[in-house]
Amino acid sequence: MEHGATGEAGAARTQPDDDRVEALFGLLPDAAARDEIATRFASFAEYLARRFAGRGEPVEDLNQVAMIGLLKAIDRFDDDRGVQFSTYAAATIIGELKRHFRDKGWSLRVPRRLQELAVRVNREMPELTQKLGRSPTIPELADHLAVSTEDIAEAMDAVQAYSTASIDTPAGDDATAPIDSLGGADPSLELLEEWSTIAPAVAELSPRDRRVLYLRFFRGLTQSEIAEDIGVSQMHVSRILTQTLEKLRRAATA
Amino acid sequence: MSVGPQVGDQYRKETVDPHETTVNLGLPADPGSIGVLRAVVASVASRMALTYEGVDDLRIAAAEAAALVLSSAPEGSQLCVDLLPSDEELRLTIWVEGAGGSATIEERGSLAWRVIEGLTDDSAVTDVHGSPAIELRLRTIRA
Repeated sequence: MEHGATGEAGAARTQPDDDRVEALFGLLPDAAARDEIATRFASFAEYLARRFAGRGEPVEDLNQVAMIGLLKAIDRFDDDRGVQFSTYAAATIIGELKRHFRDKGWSLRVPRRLQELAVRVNREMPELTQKLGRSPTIPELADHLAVSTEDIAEAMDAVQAYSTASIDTPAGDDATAPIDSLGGADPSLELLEEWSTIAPAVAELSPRDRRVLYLRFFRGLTQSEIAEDIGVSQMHVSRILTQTLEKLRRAATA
Repeated sequence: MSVGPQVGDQYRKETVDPHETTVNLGLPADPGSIGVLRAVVASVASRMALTYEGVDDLRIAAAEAAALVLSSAPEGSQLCVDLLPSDEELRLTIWVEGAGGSATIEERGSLAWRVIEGLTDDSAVTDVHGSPAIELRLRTIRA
């Protein structure tokens, strides 16, 4: 900040919507006025950021995100609407924080303990599957991980709340898009042909998503077998299936 | 709760008694209820000798079946689900209470049915109190 306005920040914390703030908004887009508003509301932004702490993101990052939200709020605020700036700023800052979490992969609904459990389930699944010669039951998984079956059931939901981009995006250079490894005709085009009348949106799916559908519904492969085929985890396959089918259902009813 | 001496310890701890427990679920006949349905299916199934993947598949199938029966749900009606666990299988019956005999369920061959058939061991259209219902079955590893 080029113009130091920090001296008044402490006093402003208790009553952020005072006359001074109103006067400052009248001075915008003056940079000094903008800075002073930002300084006055900085602790408010930090307060909101703290409400999102403990969800796996460092507090410093959250503070920065909240400050970005605050600056956006200052630039967009229109005091003719009869809304107090603090109300408007809170909505904007919280929106910014939520978007940050969305972009990071986790939906905010998922408590950290379940995120971590989902990751553990994901990690142990291949070994248990190999040992048992089939997918483990939920009680077997619960025993293995020393948690309750209810925890696993909850983690199952947590997995679906996670964006497909994370847990196991294909690893580095070894990752080949499934379509690349087919060398020639794409057998999932068979699916396209057969499903084109019942689910026209199949044509708009990515080759990978289409392949997952093809392997599951035309070849009868299990989620784990598909996971191996396309080089992701079983959980990732589960998410692809759930999300792809939802997409198709929405398109069909639209 | 116990399911008998032939099963491993991990099922004895918190397994639902297959011969006494039916879970009946009544939810608003609204697509928003499907999330609750998925969670309850996971919760009941998690105590049984069903594979993780099987349960995951069953959740997807249950959501499709619910979407099918909901397509003819009258205003203010209820989405009903019975979950019947046993040693051999988990059976789900899904219908809309008060949908009546005139309500129809899309014929097999649709996308929803392809999904249901692909993800369960057995599926059927039945009748509950005069309303069309979809029945899904998933076999346990002991069946």
